[in-house]
Amino acid sequence: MSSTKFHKKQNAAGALFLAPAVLILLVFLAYPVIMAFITSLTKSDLLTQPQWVGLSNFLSIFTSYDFLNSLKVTARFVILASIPLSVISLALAVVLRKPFRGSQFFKLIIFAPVVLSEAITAVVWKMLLNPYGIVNDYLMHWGFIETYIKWLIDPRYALGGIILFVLWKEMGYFMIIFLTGLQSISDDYYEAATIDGASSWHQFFYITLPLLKPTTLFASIIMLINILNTFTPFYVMTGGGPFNSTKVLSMLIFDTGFKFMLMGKAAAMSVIILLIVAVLSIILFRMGRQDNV
Amino acid sequence: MKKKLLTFFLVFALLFSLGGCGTVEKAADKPKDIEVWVHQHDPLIAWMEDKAQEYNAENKDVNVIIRAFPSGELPEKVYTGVKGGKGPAAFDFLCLNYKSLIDKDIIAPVDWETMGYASAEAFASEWYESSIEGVRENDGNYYALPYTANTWSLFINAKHFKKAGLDPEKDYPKTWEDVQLVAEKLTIRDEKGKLVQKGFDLPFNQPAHWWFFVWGPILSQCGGSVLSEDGSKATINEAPAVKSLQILYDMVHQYKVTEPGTAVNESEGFRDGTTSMWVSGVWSKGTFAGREIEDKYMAVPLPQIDPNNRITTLGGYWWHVSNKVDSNTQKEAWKFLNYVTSDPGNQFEKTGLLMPKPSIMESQSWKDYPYSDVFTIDLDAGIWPQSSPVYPQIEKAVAEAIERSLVGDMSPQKSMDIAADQINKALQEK
Repeated sequence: MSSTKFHKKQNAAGALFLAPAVLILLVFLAYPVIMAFITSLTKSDLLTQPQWVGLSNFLSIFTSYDFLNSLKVTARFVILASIPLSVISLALAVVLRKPFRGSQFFKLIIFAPVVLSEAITAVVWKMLLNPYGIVNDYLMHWGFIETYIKWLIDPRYALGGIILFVLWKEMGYFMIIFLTGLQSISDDYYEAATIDGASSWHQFFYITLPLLKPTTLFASIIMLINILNTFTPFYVMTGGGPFNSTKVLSMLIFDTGFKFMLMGKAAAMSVIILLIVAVLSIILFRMGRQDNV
Repeated sequence: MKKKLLTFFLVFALLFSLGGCGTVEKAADKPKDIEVWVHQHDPLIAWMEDKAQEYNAENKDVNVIIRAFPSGELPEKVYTGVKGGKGPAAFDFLCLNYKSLIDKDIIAPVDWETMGYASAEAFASEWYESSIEGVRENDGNYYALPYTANTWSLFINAKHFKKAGLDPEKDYPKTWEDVQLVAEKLTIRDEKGKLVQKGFDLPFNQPAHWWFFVWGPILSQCGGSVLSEDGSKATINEAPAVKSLQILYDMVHQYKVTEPGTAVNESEGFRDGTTSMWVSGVWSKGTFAGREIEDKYMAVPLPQIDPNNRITTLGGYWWHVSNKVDSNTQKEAWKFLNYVTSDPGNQFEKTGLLMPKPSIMESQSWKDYPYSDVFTIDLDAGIWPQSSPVYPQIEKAVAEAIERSLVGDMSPQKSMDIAADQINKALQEK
């Protein structure tokens, strides 16, 4: 068999192998995204014939108080959730990196919330964060607070209550990601640093963090997508209230599309979220690439 | 050779998996599935499943399947199901959503002929006129079976009244001013200020439509409305409507008889004996079984602004048949709905849901029902709440307005002004 014929056969076999995956991607990813773009340019209530309206959905969104409020709430949520989540997950990974007595048990306990049902755990947390719930009871008992905090009904605290839930639910997942990254760092670096007299903090900042950058970049993108897509705790615990202080974009899209049946507008909001995620991901990739140069 | 075998196997596997995606069933011998979607109300679900079983046994060519969904989620489920071609043949919707269904043209007119009536008039004559007229459109057709027309009355914990030195038979509140004063007496806090017994509670954590049955009557009693009579503009920020919200505002902020957000489910607060007074529907008795309140509750007529001019709100779910299923399925659905609405007494006995047919008043189950005399008083004064094609947006605007004033501290006028803007915008976008 000539080499050209052989390569052609190889390419054909490769294409055949890829075909099922490509088909799935086209049907479940590309098609819905394309349809969302098209729907965003129409006035559609899902049940009657869509009417073409061009960019008026987007114009209406950018002048809408609800959308601007949700954008603000989402930005606040992303920043206030992702920073502690990253720090806590990394800290746990660093502590649990070296095996010690009981380390496996701790990993299990920390990871367990990840596999529990989000809806059910959100209901439980809603009860825990009730003004007369167990969280306030303990905080009062230990003297941290003097009056009951209205966790989920005071707009000053409601987002904080949900962030607490998200931290508890997600830190195990990102701890595992960071653990994987840490395990790829050779102990030789730490041995050499120890011989040179570097403290643990120096080793962390000058060895661990720089060598963990690829993992950190990956975790940041996944974290960004996960946090932007967070819906269930908002739906279960606050319904977007009080006073829309927890009305993140995902909730607004749900209400706009499925409660008010303004599918075109909801699709337009989804497109905007997609663009936001895309831009932020590109920024993160560029930052990661710059550091590697 | 190995590569050829591998390639062959891969192609075969791909074709097999694609070919196996659908199977052809022999439809001829299978009974026709009729899906009926219904809102979550445990006694109703149990009764509907029994009725479906009976009906299926008598009609072997049909298989009625009952599916239940939380009431707040039912609209989304129905709309997305209809769009995806997997919607129900019949479903029940809250009466407030009626105009949305008409606007979206997804419901079929009542097929009274299939149901066995000689004429539309013969069909309508079996129902209370005020109820059946509410589902008749300009084309003369009826578009729903208004199978529930529940009154909302005041339920009180008689034991709490006695403990507070009140006589529940005489001292129950007749006006909303009475509610404020009596509730204040019944409210108990511990030494740390924690609210341990609420004198009166409001549906902060119930589905948002509850406000239309708890605050809604007060609105009507004050002479107010959410929309103008033709439904074209919001009137929720006019003086009568603001007055109705002020009454609730005072209960929370002045009389402090409840605290928003301290219950996961306020209905449970009444059932477990931590709330002294609660506005709920005639169907509530079925939910008290085995609970603390079971032998301690009393139902009294809904308080009024003017006891000489009684107004209450009827709340109900109405049966609809989807016009997106084929005509045979529609006919079978109407036949089944005719079956389940043929015995109002049985429905009431098993579910506590009141069907607005005159025959209900003569049924033994109604006569034997605790406090049926009270519910009759409120039923006589009942009016349907106003529906609108933009009801979901109205519901959101109302719920947020009430939240701003009761959970927050915004003045009712300012809060209602915001709600009016939101509603008018939704009407313009329509």
